[in-house]
Amino acid sequence: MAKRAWIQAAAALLQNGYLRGFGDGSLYRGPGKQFCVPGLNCYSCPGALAACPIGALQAMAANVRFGLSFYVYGFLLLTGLIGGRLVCGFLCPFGFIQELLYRVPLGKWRRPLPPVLRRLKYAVLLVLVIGIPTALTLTGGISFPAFCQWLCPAGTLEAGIPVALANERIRGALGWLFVWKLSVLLGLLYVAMRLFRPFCRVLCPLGAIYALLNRLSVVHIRTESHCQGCGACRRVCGMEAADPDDPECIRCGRCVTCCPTGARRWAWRRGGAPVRSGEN
Amino acid sequence: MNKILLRAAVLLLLTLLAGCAAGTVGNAGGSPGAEAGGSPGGAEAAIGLAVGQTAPDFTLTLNGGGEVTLSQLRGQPVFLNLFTTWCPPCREEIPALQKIYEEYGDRVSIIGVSVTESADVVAEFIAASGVGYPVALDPDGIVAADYDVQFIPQSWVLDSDGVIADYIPGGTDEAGILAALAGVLP
Amino acid sequence: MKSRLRALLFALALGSLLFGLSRGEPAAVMQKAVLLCLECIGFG
Repeated sequence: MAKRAWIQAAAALLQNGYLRGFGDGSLYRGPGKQFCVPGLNCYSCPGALAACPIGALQAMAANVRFGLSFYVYGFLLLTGLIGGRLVCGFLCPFGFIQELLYRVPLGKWRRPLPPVLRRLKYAVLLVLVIGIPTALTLTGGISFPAFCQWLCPAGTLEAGIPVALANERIRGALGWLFVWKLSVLLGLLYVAMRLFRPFCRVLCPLGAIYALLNRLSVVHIRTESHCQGCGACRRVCGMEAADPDDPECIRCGRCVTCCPTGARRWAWRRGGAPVRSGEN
Repeated sequence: MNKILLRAAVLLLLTLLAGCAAGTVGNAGGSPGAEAGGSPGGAEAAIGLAVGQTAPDFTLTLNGGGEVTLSQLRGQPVFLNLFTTWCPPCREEIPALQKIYEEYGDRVSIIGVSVTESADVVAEFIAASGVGYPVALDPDGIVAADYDVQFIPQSWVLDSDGVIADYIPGGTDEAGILAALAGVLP
Repeated sequence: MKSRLRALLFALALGSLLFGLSRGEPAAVMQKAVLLCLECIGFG
Protein backbone atom coordinates (compact mmCIF):
# COMPACT_ATOMS: atom_id res chain seq x y z
CA MET A 1 0.00 0.00 0.00
CA ALA A 2 2.11 2.82 -1.27
CA LYS A 3 -0.03 5.63 0.14
CA ARG A 4 0.24 4.34 3.67
CA ALA A 5 4.00 4.09 3.32
CA TRP A 6 4.11 7.77 2.40
CA ILE A 7 2.15 8.65 5.51
CA GLN A 8 4.39 6.47 7.64
CA ALA A 9 7.50 8.09 6.18
CA ALA A 10 6.09 11.57 6.68
CA ALA A 11 5.14 10.75 10.26
CA ALA A 12 8.59 9.40 11.01
CA LEU A 13 10.24 12.54 9.62
CA LEU A 14 7.87 14.91 11.36
CA GLN A 15 8.42 13.27 14.73
CA ASN A 16 12.18 13.50 14.27
CA GLY A 17 12.53 16.87 12.62
CA TYR A 18 15.31 18.28 14.78
CA LEU A 19 17.95 17.47 12.20
CA ARG A 20 20.65 19.46 13.93
CA GLY A 21 20.68 16.95 16.75
CA PHE A 22 21.96 14.27 14.40
CA GLY A 23 24.92 16.42 13.60
CA ASP A 24 26.20 17.09 17.09
CA GLY A 25 24.39 14.53 19.24
CA SER A 26 22.40 17.19 21.06
CA LEU A 27 18.78 16.95 22.12
CA TYR A 28 15.96 19.25 21.20
CA ARG A 29 14.88 21.18 24.26
CA GLY A 30 11.92 23.17 23.05
CA PRO A 31 8.32 23.13 24.21
CA GLY A 32 7.41 20.21 21.95
CA LYS A 33 8.98 17.86 24.43
CA GLN A 34 6.14 18.25 26.88
CA PHE A 35 3.81 16.57 24.37
CA CYS A 36 3.83 12.88 23.53
CA VAL A 37 3.82 11.43 20.07
CA PRO A 38 1.29 8.62 19.68
CA GLY A 39 3.79 6.01 18.44
CA LEU A 40 7.01 4.60 19.81
CA ASN A 41 9.66 7.26 19.25
CA CYS A 42 12.42 7.64 21.81
CA TYR A 43 12.63 11.15 23.20
CA SER A 44 16.36 10.75 23.47
CA CYS A 45 16.57 10.52 19.72
CA PRO A 46 18.60 13.57 18.63
CA GLY A 47 15.87 14.41 16.15
CA ALA A 48 12.89 13.90 18.44
CA LEU A 49 10.61 16.89 18.76
CA ALA A 50 8.30 15.40 21.35
CA ALA A 51 8.30 12.77 24.08
CA CYS A 52 7.72 9.03 23.93
CA PRO A 53 4.52 8.08 25.76
CA ILE A 54 5.97 4.83 27.10
CA GLY A 55 9.11 6.59 28.29
CA ALA A 56 6.94 9.27 29.85
CA LEU A 57 4.84 6.67 31.68
CA GLN A 58 7.91 5.14 33.28
CA ALA A 59 9.42 8.51 34.09
CA MET A 60 6.24 9.63 35.78
CA ALA A 61 6.03 6.36 37.70
CA ALA A 62 9.48 7.17 39.05
CA ASN A 63 8.38 10.61 40.16
CA VAL A 64 7.22 10.57 43.76
CA ARG A 65 5.04 13.60 43.23
CA PHE A 66 3.04 12.19 40.36
CA GLY A 67 3.29 8.42 40.20
CA LEU A 68 0.38 7.76 37.90
CA SER A 69 0.40 10.01 34.87
CA PHE A 70 -3.13 11.16 34.18
CA TYR A 71 -1.85 13.29 31.35
CA VAL A 72 -0.15 10.47 29.46
CA TYR A 73 -2.77 7.81 30.16
CA GLY A 74 -5.49 10.26 29.17
CA PHE A 75 -3.70 10.97 25.91
CA LEU A 76 -3.20 7.26 25.17
CA LEU A 77 -6.80 6.42 26.00
CA LEU A 78 -8.03 9.22 23.78
CA THR A 79 -5.81 8.21 20.87
CA GLY A 80 -6.78 4.56 21.26
CA LEU A 81 -10.48 5.37 21.36
CA ILE A 82 -10.14 7.30 18.12
CA GLY A 83 -8.41 4.61 16.07
CA GLY A 84 -7.26 1.73 18.24
CA ARG A 85 -4.06 0.46 16.65
CA LEU A 86 -4.46 2.83 13.71
CA VAL A 87 -1.44 4.62 15.16
CA CYS A 88 0.56 1.41 14.81
CA GLY A 89 -0.38 1.08 11.19
CA PHE A 90 0.20 4.66 10.11
CA LEU A 91 2.20 6.76 12.55
CA CYS A 92 4.69 4.63 14.44
CA PRO A 93 8.24 5.10 13.10
CA PHE A 94 9.49 1.86 14.56
CA GLY A 95 6.65 -0.08 12.98
CA PHE A 96 7.53 1.56 9.68
CA ILE A 97 11.15 0.47 10.00
CA GLN A 98 10.10 -3.13 10.55
CA GLU A 99 7.84 -3.03 7.51
CA LEU A 100 10.68 -1.74 5.38
CA LEU A 101 12.85 -4.58 6.61
CA TYR A 102 10.14 -7.10 5.71
CA ARG A 103 10.49 -6.00 2.11
CA VAL A 104 14.05 -7.36 2.08
CA PRO A 105 13.96 -10.48 -0.11
CA LEU A 106 14.77 -13.04 2.57
CA GLY A 107 12.69 -16.19 3.07
CA LYS A 108 9.59 -15.50 5.14
CA TRP A 109 8.57 -17.67 8.07
CA ARG A 110 5.24 -19.26 7.26
CA ARG A 111 4.29 -20.97 10.48
CA PRO A 112 1.68 -19.09 12.54
CA LEU A 113 2.93 -17.37 15.66
CA PRO A 114 2.15 -19.28 18.89
CA PRO A 115 -0.61 -17.38 20.75
CA VAL A 116 1.45 -17.15 23.94
CA LEU A 117 3.94 -14.89 22.17
CA ARG A 118 1.18 -12.49 21.24
CA ARG A 119 0.32 -12.10 24.88
CA LEU A 120 3.89 -11.39 25.91
CA LYS A 121 3.48 -7.70 25.10
CA TYR A 122 0.90 -7.34 27.86
CA ALA A 123 3.39 -8.77 30.33
CA VAL A 124 5.99 -6.30 29.05
CA LEU A 125 3.51 -3.50 29.69
CA LEU A 126 2.51 -4.67 33.15
CA VAL A 127 5.94 -5.60 34.42
CA LEU A 128 8.52 -3.41 32.70
CA VAL A 129 6.55 -0.26 32.00
CA ILE A 130 4.22 -0.09 34.97
CA GLY A 131 5.20 -2.67 37.57
CA ILE A 132 8.89 -2.24 38.21
CA PRO A 133 9.09 1.57 38.04
CA THR A 134 6.02 1.97 40.27
CA ALA A 135 7.02 -0.70 42.78
CA LEU A 136 10.45 0.82 43.23
CA THR A 137 9.02 4.26 43.83
CA LEU A 138 6.46 2.95 46.30
CA THR A 139 9.06 1.05 48.29
CA GLY A 140 11.39 4.02 48.43
CA GLY A 141 13.96 2.54 46.09
CA ILE A 142 15.65 4.14 43.13
CA SER A 143 13.16 3.79 40.33
CA PHE A 144 14.26 3.44 36.73
CA PRO A 145 12.54 3.01 33.35
CA ALA A 146 12.86 -0.76 33.06
CA PHE A 147 11.47 -1.05 29.55
CA CYS A 148 13.63 1.73 28.13
CA GLN A 149 16.70 0.58 29.94
CA TRP A 150 16.53 -3.16 29.32
CA LEU A 151 14.47 -3.73 26.25
CA CYS A 152 13.37 -0.96 23.95
CA PRO A 153 15.04 -1.44 20.59
CA ALA A 154 13.54 1.77 19.27
CA GLY A 155 15.58 3.64 21.85
CA THR A 156 18.78 1.90 20.85
CA LEU A 157 18.17 2.50 17.16
CA GLU A 158 16.89 6.06 17.33
CA ALA A 159 18.77 7.36 20.35
CA GLY A 160 21.59 5.10 21.43
CA ILE A 161 23.30 4.69 18.11
CA PRO A 162 22.90 8.20 16.65
CA VAL A 163 23.94 9.85 19.90
CA ALA A 164 26.94 7.55 20.30
CA LEU A 165 27.98 8.29 16.74
CA ALA A 166 27.66 12.05 17.03
CA ASN A 167 28.79 12.67 20.59
CA GLU A 168 32.25 11.44 21.49
CA ARG A 169 31.80 12.10 25.18
CA ILE A 170 28.94 9.67 25.33
CA ARG A 171 31.01 7.04 23.58
CA GLY A 172 33.18 6.94 26.66
CA ALA A 173 30.26 5.73 28.73
CA LEU A 174 29.30 2.67 26.67
CA GLY A 175 29.31 -0.58 28.60
CA TRP A 176 27.74 -4.03 28.82
CA LEU A 177 24.20 -2.78 28.98
CA PHE A 178 24.68 -1.25 25.57
CA VAL A 179 26.03 -4.54 24.24
CA TRP A 180 22.86 -6.25 25.45
CA LYS A 181 20.55 -3.60 24.00
CA LEU A 182 22.38 -3.71 20.69
CA SER A 183 21.99 -7.50 20.55
CA VAL A 184 18.28 -7.16 21.21
CA LEU A 185 18.02 -4.59 18.43
CA LEU A 186 20.02 -6.57 15.90
CA GLY A 187 18.12 -9.77 16.68
CA LEU A 188 14.84 -7.97 16.20
CA LEU A 189 15.91 -6.29 12.98
CA TYR A 190 16.89 -9.68 11.59
CA VAL A 191 13.61 -11.32 12.60
CA ALA A 192 11.74 -8.38 11.05
CA MET A 193 13.11 -9.49 7.69
CA ARG A 194 11.55 -12.94 8.13
CA LEU A 195 8.42 -12.15 10.12
CA PHE A 196 6.05 -9.22 9.71
CA ARG A 197 6.51 -6.60 12.46
CA PRO A 198 7.72 -8.99 15.17
CA PHE A 199 8.20 -6.33 17.84
CA CYS A 200 4.66 -5.07 17.38
CA ARG A 201 3.25 -8.56 17.64
CA VAL A 202 5.26 -9.84 20.57
CA LEU A 203 6.81 -7.08 22.65
CA CYS A 204 5.41 -3.60 22.15
CA PRO A 205 3.75 -2.27 25.31
CA LEU A 206 2.27 0.67 23.45
CA GLY A 207 0.68 -1.64 20.91
CA ALA A 208 -0.69 -3.60 23.85
CA ILE A 209 -2.48 -0.53 25.16
CA TYR A 210 -3.98 0.39 21.80
CA ALA A 211 -4.85 -3.27 21.15
CA LEU A 212 -7.18 -3.25 24.12
CA LEU A 213 -9.11 -0.41 22.54
CA ASN A 214 -9.47 -1.85 19.04
CA ARG A 215 -12.95 -3.12 19.73
CA LEU A 216 -14.13 0.29 20.90
CA SER A 217 -12.41 2.63 18.49
CA VAL A 218 -14.42 5.20 16.62
CA VAL A 219 -12.55 4.62 13.37
CA HIS A 220 -12.48 1.00 12.35
CA ILE A 221 -12.75 -1.45 9.48
CA ARG A 222 -16.17 -2.95 8.96
CA THR A 223 -17.20 -6.11 7.14
CA GLU A 224 -20.38 -5.62 5.15
CA SER A 225 -23.06 -8.26 4.88
CA HIS A 226 -22.25 -9.09 1.28
CA CYS A 227 -19.00 -10.70 2.40
CA GLN A 228 -18.74 -14.09 0.78
CA GLY A 229 -16.35 -15.67 3.23
CA CYS A 230 -13.56 -16.21 0.69
CA GLY A 231 -10.96 -15.59 3.36
CA ALA A 232 -8.69 -13.44 1.21
CA CYS A 233 -8.53 -10.84 3.98
CA ARG A 234 -7.26 -13.36 6.49
CA ARG A 235 -4.64 -14.73 4.17
CA VAL A 236 -3.25 -11.33 3.38
CA CYS A 237 -3.12 -10.08 6.97
CA GLY A 238 0.46 -9.66 8.14
CA MET A 239 -0.57 -9.62 11.79
CA GLU A 240 -2.63 -12.86 11.55
CA ALA A 241 -5.59 -10.96 12.95
CA ALA A 242 -8.90 -12.85 13.01
CA ASP A 243 -10.82 -9.71 12.11
CA PRO A 244 -10.23 -5.95 12.21
CA ASP A 245 -11.49 -5.64 15.76
CA ASP A 246 -9.02 -8.26 16.90
CA PRO A 247 -6.38 -6.79 19.23
CA GLU A 248 -3.74 -7.78 16.70
CA CYS A 249 -5.14 -5.68 13.85
CA ILE A 250 -2.99 -2.61 13.17
CA ARG A 251 -5.53 -1.11 10.73
CA CYS A 252 -3.11 -1.13 7.83
CA GLY A 253 -5.98 -1.47 5.39
CA ARG A 254 -4.52 -4.29 3.36
CA CYS A 255 -7.69 -6.35 3.74
CA VAL A 256 -9.75 -3.43 2.50
CA THR A 257 -7.69 -3.30 -0.69
CA CYS A 258 -7.70 -7.06 -1.17
CA CYS A 259 -11.37 -7.81 -0.68
CA PRO A 260 -12.74 -9.00 -4.04
CA THR A 261 -16.31 -7.95 -3.28
CA GLY A 262 -15.50 -4.69 -1.52
CA ALA A 263 -17.12 -5.96 1.67
CA ARG A 264 -14.30 -4.62 3.85
CA ARG A 265 -14.51 -0.88 4.37
CA TRP A 266 -13.13 1.86 6.58
CA ALA A 267 -15.97 3.23 8.65
CA TRP A 268 -17.03 5.32 11.60
CA ARG A 269 -18.33 2.90 14.13
CA ARG A 270 -22.11 3.00 14.46
CA GLY A 271 -23.28 2.32 17.97
CA GLY A 272 -21.70 -0.81 19.34
CA ALA A 273 -22.43 -3.06 16.39
CA PRO A 274 -20.07 -6.05 16.42
CA VAL A 275 -17.84 -6.55 13.41
CA ARG A 276 -18.57 -9.55 11.28
CA SER A 277 -15.44 -11.58 10.74
CA GLY A 278 -14.29 -12.22 7.21
CA GLU A 279 -15.19 -15.87 6.92
CA ASN A 280 -18.46 -17.81 7.14
CA MET B 1 -8.26 5.85 -0.62
CA ASN B 2 -11.30 5.87 1.60
CA LYS B 3 -12.40 9.32 2.76
CA ILE B 4 -12.77 8.48 6.42
CA LEU B 5 -9.32 7.05 6.66
CA LEU B 6 -7.88 10.00 4.83
CA ARG B 7 -9.57 12.43 7.16
CA ALA B 8 -8.50 10.60 10.26
CA ALA B 9 -4.93 10.38 9.06
CA VAL B 10 -4.84 14.03 8.05
CA LEU B 11 -6.25 15.04 11.41
CA LEU B 12 -3.66 13.09 13.33
CA LEU B 13 -0.89 14.37 11.09
CA LEU B 14 -2.01 17.97 11.45
CA THR B 15 -1.86 17.61 15.20
CA LEU B 16 1.67 16.36 14.93
CA LEU B 17 2.58 19.11 12.50
CA ALA B 18 1.19 21.77 14.80
CA GLY B 19 3.22 20.40 17.65
CA CYS B 20 6.37 20.27 15.61
CA ALA B 21 5.91 23.73 14.16
CA ALA B 22 5.43 25.14 17.61
CA GLY B 23 8.46 23.23 18.68
CA THR B 24 10.97 24.24 16.09
CA VAL B 25 10.34 27.91 16.77
CA GLY B 26 11.90 27.81 20.19
CA ASN B 27 14.84 25.70 21.19
CA ALA B 28 16.98 26.82 24.05
CA GLY B 29 20.25 25.25 24.88
CA GLY B 30 22.15 22.50 23.21
CA SER B 31 24.80 24.86 21.90
CA PRO B 32 28.29 24.45 23.26
CA GLY B 33 29.04 27.59 25.19
CA ALA B 34 32.70 27.68 25.89
CA GLU B 35 33.06 31.43 25.82
CA ALA B 36 32.42 32.45 29.39
CA GLY B 37 33.92 35.93 29.43
CA GLY B 38 37.56 36.74 28.81
CA SER B 39 40.44 35.38 30.82
CA PRO B 40 41.81 37.94 33.26
CA GLY B 41 45.04 38.06 31.29
CA GLY B 42 48.35 36.49 32.08
CA ALA B 43 49.33 32.87 31.54
CA GLU B 44 45.92 31.36 32.23
CA ALA B 45 44.87 28.49 29.98
CA ALA B 46 42.08 29.16 27.50
CA ILE B 47 38.53 28.62 28.74
CA GLY B 48 36.94 25.55 27.29
CA LEU B 49 35.71 22.04 27.87
CA ALA B 50 38.75 20.02 26.91
CA VAL B 51 41.32 18.63 29.30
CA GLY B 52 43.96 21.28 29.80
CA GLN B 53 41.55 24.17 29.40
CA THR B 54 40.16 26.28 32.18
CA ALA B 55 36.65 25.24 33.11
CA PRO B 56 33.93 27.82 32.44
CA ASP B 57 33.22 29.88 35.52
CA PHE B 58 29.80 30.17 37.16
CA THR B 59 28.04 31.55 40.20
CA LEU B 60 25.08 29.61 41.51
CA THR B 61 22.81 29.62 44.53
CA LEU B 62 23.44 26.79 46.92
CA ASN B 63 20.75 24.53 48.27
CA GLY B 64 20.29 25.68 51.82
CA GLY B 65 21.40 29.24 51.13
CA GLY B 66 24.48 31.08 50.05
CA GLU B 67 26.29 31.13 46.76
CA VAL B 68 29.22 29.42 45.14
CA THR B 69 31.55 30.78 42.47
CA LEU B 70 33.72 28.21 40.78
CA SER B 71 36.76 30.39 40.28
CA GLN B 72 36.83 31.23 43.99
CA LEU B 73 37.41 27.57 44.79
CA ARG B 74 40.88 27.66 43.26
CA GLY B 75 43.67 26.59 45.52
CA GLN B 76 42.11 23.20 45.88
CA PRO B 77 41.08 20.62 43.30
CA VAL B 78 37.38 20.49 42.48
CA PHE B 79 35.16 17.49 41.74
CA LEU B 80 32.11 18.82 39.94
CA ASN B 81 29.19 16.42 39.67
CA LEU B 82 26.37 17.41 37.30
CA PHE B 83 23.19 15.50 38.07
CA THR B 84 19.42 15.51 38.46
CA THR B 85 17.36 14.06 41.28
CA TRP B 86 15.33 11.82 39.01
CA CYS B 87 18.13 10.08 37.17
CA PRO B 88 18.81 6.60 38.60
CA PRO B 89 22.58 6.42 37.99
CA CYS B 90 22.91 9.93 39.43
CA ARG B 91 21.30 8.77 42.64
CA GLU B 92 23.33 5.59 42.71
CA GLU B 93 26.62 7.45 42.81
CA ILE B 94 25.59 9.81 45.61
CA PRO B 95 26.68 7.54 48.49
CA ALA B 96 30.13 7.27 46.90
CA LEU B 97 30.34 11.04 46.54
CA GLN B 98 29.26 11.48 50.13
CA LYS B 99 31.92 9.07 51.32
CA ILE B 100 34.65 10.82 49.37
CA TYR B 101 33.41 14.12 50.77
CA GLU B 102 33.69 12.85 54.30
CA GLU B 103 37.18 11.47 53.81
CA TYR B 104 38.74 14.04 51.50
CA GLY B 105 36.54 17.07 51.94
CA ASP B 106 39.34 19.09 53.44
CA ARG B 107 41.58 18.53 50.43
CA VAL B 108 39.16 18.65 47.53
CA SER B 109 35.95 20.58 46.93
CA ILE B 110 33.07 18.27 46.07
CA ILE B 111 30.26 20.19 44.41
CA GLY B 112 27.02 18.80 43.06
CA VAL B 113 25.10 20.83 40.48
CA SER B 114 21.47 19.97 39.89
CA VAL B 115 20.72 20.98 36.31
CA THR B 116 17.35 22.29 35.10
CA GLU B 117 15.59 21.47 38.37
CA SER B 118 13.64 23.81 40.62
CA ALA B 119 14.89 24.69 44.08
CA ASP B 120 12.10 23.01 46.01
CA VAL B 121 12.46 19.68 44.22
CA VAL B 122 16.18 19.67 44.98
CA ALA B 123 15.68 20.75 48.59
CA GLU B 124 13.21 17.93 49.14
CA PHE B 125 15.57 15.42 47.63
CA ILE B 126 18.67 16.57 49.51
CA ALA B 127 16.85 16.56 52.82
CA ALA B 128 15.79 12.97 52.28
CA SER B 129 19.05 11.70 50.86
CA GLY B 130 21.55 12.68 53.54
CA VAL B 131 23.86 14.52 51.17
CA GLY B 132 26.37 16.60 53.09
CA TYR B 133 28.43 18.15 50.30
CA PRO B 134 27.34 21.45 48.76
CA VAL B 135 24.75 21.21 46.03
CA ALA B 136 24.29 24.16 43.67
CA LEU B 137 21.08 24.93 41.80
CA ASP B 138 21.00 25.52 38.06
CA PRO B 139 17.28 25.76 37.36
CA ASP B 140 17.73 27.78 34.17
CA GLY B 141 20.29 25.40 32.76
CA ILE B 142 22.98 28.06 32.33
CA VAL B 143 25.77 25.85 33.58
CA ALA B 144 24.21 23.00 31.61
CA ALA B 145 24.55 25.10 28.47
CA ASP B 146 28.08 26.30 29.29
CA TYR B 147 29.24 22.76 29.86
CA ASP B 148 27.33 21.44 26.85
CA VAL B 149 25.45 19.01 29.04
CA GLN B 150 23.41 16.62 26.91
CA PHE B 151 23.30 13.80 29.41
CA ILE B 152 23.64 13.13 33.09
CA PRO B 153 25.35 12.21 35.25
CA GLN B 154 28.74 13.54 34.34
CA SER B 155 31.64 14.69 36.48
CA TRP B 156 34.46 17.13 35.87
CA VAL B 157 37.74 17.05 37.76
CA LEU B 158 39.57 20.38 38.03
CA ASP B 159 43.01 20.98 39.45
CA SER B 160 43.78 23.74 41.94
CA ASP B 161 44.05 26.29 39.13
CA GLY B 162 40.62 25.48 37.79
CA VAL B 163 42.02 23.64 34.80
CA ILE B 164 40.17 20.54 33.60
CA ALA B 165 42.19 17.44 34.48
CA ASP B 166 39.67 14.68 33.85
CA TYR B 167 36.11 14.01 32.79
CA ILE B 168 33.76 11.15 33.67
CA PRO B 169 30.79 10.54 31.38
CA GLY B 170 27.94 8.68 33.07
CA GLY B 171 27.82 7.32 36.60
CA THR B 172 30.82 6.27 38.62
CA ASP B 173 31.70 4.75 41.97
CA GLU B 174 34.18 5.32 44.76
CA ALA B 175 37.02 3.69 42.87
CA GLY B 176 36.26 5.72 39.78
CA ILE B 177 36.17 8.98 41.71
CA LEU B 178 39.45 8.22 43.46
CA ALA B 179 41.13 7.26 40.22
CA ALA B 180 39.99 10.53 38.64
CA LEU B 181 41.20 12.51 41.66
CA ALA B 182 44.55 10.75 41.83
CA GLY B 183 46.11 13.16 39.40
CA VAL B 184 45.09 16.31 41.22
CA LEU B 185 45.10 15.47 44.90
CA PRO B 186 48.14 16.86 46.70
CA MET C 1 -24.05 -0.79 25.51
CA LYS C 2 -20.72 -0.48 23.80
CA SER C 3 -21.41 3.04 22.62
CA ARG C 4 -22.14 4.06 26.18
CA LEU C 5 -18.91 2.50 27.37
CA ARG C 6 -17.05 4.33 24.64
CA ALA C 7 -18.64 7.65 25.57
CA LEU C 8 -17.73 7.05 29.19
CA LEU C 9 -14.15 6.24 28.30
CA PHE C 10 -13.89 9.33 26.13
CA ALA C 11 -15.02 11.43 29.05
CA LEU C 12 -12.57 9.63 31.29
CA ALA C 13 -9.76 10.19 28.81
CA LEU C 14 -10.43 13.89 28.48
CA GLY C 15 -10.88 14.31 32.20
CA SER C 16 -7.67 12.47 32.87
CA LEU C 17 -5.79 14.55 30.31
CA LEU C 18 -7.07 17.80 31.74
CA PHE C 19 -6.40 16.72 35.30
CA GLY C 20 -2.87 15.81 34.36
CA LEU C 21 -2.44 19.18 32.68
CA SER C 22 -3.66 20.97 35.77
CA ARG C 23 -1.17 19.09 37.91
CA GLY C 24 1.67 20.36 35.79
CA GLU C 25 2.55 16.94 34.43
CA PRO C 26 3.68 18.18 30.98
CA ALA C 27 6.54 20.05 32.61
CA ALA C 28 7.65 16.86 34.33
CA VAL C 29 7.41 14.95 31.04
CA MET C 30 9.53 17.63 29.43
CA GLN C 31 12.24 17.37 32.06
CA LYS C 32 12.92 13.75 31.37
CA ALA C 33 12.77 14.31 27.67
CA VAL C 34 15.40 17.01 27.34
CA LEU C 35 18.28 15.54 29.29
CA LEU C 36 19.66 12.17 28.48
CA CYS C 37 20.03 9.78 31.35
CA LEU C 38 22.46 7.39 29.73
CA GLU C 39 21.48 4.28 31.56
CA CYS C 40 17.84 4.94 30.92
CA ILE C 41 18.37 4.45 27.22
CA GLY C 42 20.67 1.51 27.67
CA PHE C 43 24.18 2.87 27.90
CA GLY C 44 26.58 1.84 30.59
